[in-house]
Amino acid sequence: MADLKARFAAIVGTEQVERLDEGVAELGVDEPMTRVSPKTTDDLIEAVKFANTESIPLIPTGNGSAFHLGNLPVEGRVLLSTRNLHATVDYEPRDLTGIFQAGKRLADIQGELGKHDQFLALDPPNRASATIGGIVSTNVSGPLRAAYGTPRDLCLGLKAVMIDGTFVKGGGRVVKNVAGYDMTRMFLGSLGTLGVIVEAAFRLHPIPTDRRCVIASMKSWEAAQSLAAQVVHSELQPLFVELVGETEPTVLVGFGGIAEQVAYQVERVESLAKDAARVEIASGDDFDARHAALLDALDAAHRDDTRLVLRIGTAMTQVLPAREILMRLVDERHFGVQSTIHYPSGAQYAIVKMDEGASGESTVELVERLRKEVHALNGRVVVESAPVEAKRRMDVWGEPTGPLAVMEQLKRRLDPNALLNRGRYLRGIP
Amino acid sequence: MAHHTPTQRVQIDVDAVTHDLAKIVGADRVLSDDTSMMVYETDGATLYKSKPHVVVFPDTTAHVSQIVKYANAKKIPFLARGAGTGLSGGALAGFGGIIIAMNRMNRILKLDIENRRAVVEPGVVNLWITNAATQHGYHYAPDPSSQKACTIGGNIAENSGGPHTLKYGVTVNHIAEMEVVLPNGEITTVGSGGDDPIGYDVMAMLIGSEGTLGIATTITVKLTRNPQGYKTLLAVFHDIDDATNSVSEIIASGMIPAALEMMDRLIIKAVEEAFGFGFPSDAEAVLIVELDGLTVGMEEQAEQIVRICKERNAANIQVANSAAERDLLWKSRKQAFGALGRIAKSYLTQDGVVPRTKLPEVLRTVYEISKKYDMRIANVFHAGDGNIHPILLFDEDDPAQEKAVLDASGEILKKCVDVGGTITGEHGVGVEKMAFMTLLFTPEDLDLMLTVRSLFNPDNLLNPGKIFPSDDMGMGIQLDG
Ligand SMILES: Cc1cc2nc3c(=O)[nH]c(=O)nc-3n(C[C@H](O)[C@H](O)[C@H](O)COP(=O)(O)OP(=O)(O)OC[C@H]3O[C@@H](n4cnc5c(N)ncnc54)[C@H](O)[C@@H]3O)c2cc1C
Repeated sequence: MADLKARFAAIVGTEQVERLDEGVAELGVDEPMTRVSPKTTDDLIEAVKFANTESIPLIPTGNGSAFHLGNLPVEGRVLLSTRNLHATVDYEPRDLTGIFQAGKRLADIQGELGKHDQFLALDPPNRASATIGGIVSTNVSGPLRAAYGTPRDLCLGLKAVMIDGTFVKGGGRVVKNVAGYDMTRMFLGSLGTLGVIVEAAFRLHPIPTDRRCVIASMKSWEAAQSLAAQVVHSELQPLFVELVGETEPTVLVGFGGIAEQVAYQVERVESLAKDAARVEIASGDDFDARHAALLDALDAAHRDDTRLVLRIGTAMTQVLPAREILMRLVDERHFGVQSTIHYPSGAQYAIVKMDEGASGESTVELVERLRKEVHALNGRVVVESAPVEAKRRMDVWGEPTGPLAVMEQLKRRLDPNALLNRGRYLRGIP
Repeated sequence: MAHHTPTQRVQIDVDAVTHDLAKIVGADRVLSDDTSMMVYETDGATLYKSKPHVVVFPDTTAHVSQIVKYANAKKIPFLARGAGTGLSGGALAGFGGIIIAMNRMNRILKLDIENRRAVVEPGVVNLWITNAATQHGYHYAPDPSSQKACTIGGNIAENSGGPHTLKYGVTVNHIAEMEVVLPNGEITTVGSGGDDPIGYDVMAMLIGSEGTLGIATTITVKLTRNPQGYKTLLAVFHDIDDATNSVSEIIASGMIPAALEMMDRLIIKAVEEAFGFGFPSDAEAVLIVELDGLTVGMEEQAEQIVRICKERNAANIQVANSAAERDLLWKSRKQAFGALGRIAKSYLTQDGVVPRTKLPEVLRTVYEISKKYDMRIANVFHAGDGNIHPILLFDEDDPAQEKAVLDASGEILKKCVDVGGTITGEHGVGVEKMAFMTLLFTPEDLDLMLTVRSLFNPDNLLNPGKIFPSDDMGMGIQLDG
């Protein structure tokens, strides 16, 4: 171990190598780990080459804000972090595009772009600490996806280091590009299992000047769903349409843009929400606080070792049926659930509060039963975070949205010795 | 023109193959006579020609799978073809072999308005989806200018865009799920009812792969709500830089118009001669701006655009106040290609993309190149995306002119790459831009893509001779030096 630390230090410099004595709890590792955080791309390439020659499994990471994602790693004791690669490579406000090194934090990017009244339109729960490389690797998104899409829609290109140290690029910095295969989206969401992303280019947006949110407390989930559906099928152009709550649902519809348009839309939603128990309007800072609250709940749950966070993906019309299945299974176990549903995309997050002392077993069983029933709705269930004990006994991903055989071969071709995030991706992918 | 037909062709027993394929789809669904093969020897990139040996028309996914398995067993190259409107030579049979014409798989299987989805077969023409959905207030957003003819299968292969992709995104942003026949004949599904991929994004890898990684047989597309209103403006400029700078400024002001399209002098002249729109004879550029969405506040936005254009010396600004007037303003743009056909015997359309702010510089270079080669180059393009379409006019019967066209194309695309752009924004590489791939990609980048191809398409039987310089069959443009 000490030897390993020294050998990485010889490549990237002593300051850039740390020993984490306690390991990383979320990864299920309680023995010491080594974190290597190269200061230059060249150093990172050399570190990867070294790991490859010595067959040292690597866990690529940014700031470690998404360790809760994925299955537990197998054998990985070395974290390869991009956190010291945090430059803005290029930002041209008039083109509304920016290129950032992977270790740059989203929060810092927003600060820089904000000076030009622009932003990168992504609002993942871990937005405060997440790096751009992490966001790209996990394709994580938030409520704003209703208006702007996910990283898959906003990322224009990237650069990555393959396990043999080869430096490759996909896409570019322009908003349309069909030259060759789409390597950008191949890396997006690949959780660092194909290569280490070191740079990514994005399409940017102007910050909507006027922001307002309608918050409607509804009497039932059916009423909430019906209001959300009416908004989605109307002429309105919301920034987000969220259904949240435990027993009593609240619908939040956010708008941004020109004051006159925002005002019109807010009024329209108020008139659609006639049967709401209560309607509030939040604007300006209040809007930002409500938006942040949506994210903070999930962010906290991701970090909470007693919570199970599920992402259930279905078509819009299956959102409530899927929730009902979950509620039934959860009630049987006397657990509680807090839902956050990004309605237009059908992405539903459920924070399951388990009894103290609930065994890993019951969690695993819950997930299995839920998966089976949600599959019948052509939906999928991903476990975004779970107590480590439960994780040891389950596959967090479930069925992939494409042929596993092709994915497995892809991994074998690009990382033949399975050194990158071994074990963390889909079952069947080394 | 010897260098635009392949130097190699596979040898196959046409009668035997015709007979075998007839057993799968029926005798009336297989063609192999020479006259029919001529129809399929080229696509919208008419400079490149290569005849298939056989064309087969499947009706079902099972047919496609069986045909593909058959071709594998016999080691015959094969490819899918939609409407043949592609502009890079993607739909021609590079080495001969079998063309699988998807045109009979042209049913709209389901409109699921509640979920904003439509399930269609690949031979469905792009515009049909919009036509079917419009009564429900929806449309299919990616709208290539060829949308009355091109198919969804072709759109997927090329990851096509269109005037309105500035605001709405390209094909890959609008596909939810696909059933695909892999190059070995296996049938699989990519994507899902939900929105986020789980596992590697195989669907995105297939989209834009120019028909080399799989054949789409059923496609679930996302539908987009029709906007409440439109505002279409047309501005005439006497200076091209004023027009392109207006484009940057409109975007920088925080507005995202639905479309921002531009035409330059030569195109204006051509449409003027053909259709008489009444553009001033000294017009250097025409800019079409379309806003869509809520009607509230649209008037003010339109006024802001008028202000920006006026500050940039726009001579004449028209605003459409009705659907009919909107159609009229768009007409000049939509008929641009048709108009060119009247002033030149042949033309080659390029498809570079540059950062928007580089448009003035790049267009200046295009004009210099036009002068240098003494060749007319017309420009009609998606300015908002920085996606230029220099159209090089020439006479394909004159070998000297043809050589010049290819050299000039190379110079233009090199400039696009030099300023941070790319060689193709929506038309694909095909056979036409194979040589230019090295302007953009390192050998390592290309190797990675070839690894991906070898994984899906190990024997390179599906649509060989495309995209990669290493696949050049002697018909692509050659780079000097
Ligand atoms: C006048 C004109 C204007 C145009 N404007 C635009 C524009 O604005 N934007 C734009 O993006 N393009 C434009 N194009 C280019 C062209 O229309 C698009 O590339 C279109 O998507 C091609 O569709 P197609 O059905 O004609 O495909 P084809 O030309 O038949 O085939 C193109 C490629 O698709 C593959 N393919 C076909 N079907 C399938 C399938 N089912 N599965 C897998 N692969 C398949 C073929 O093998 C081939 O490689 C224009 C073309 C013309 C002639």
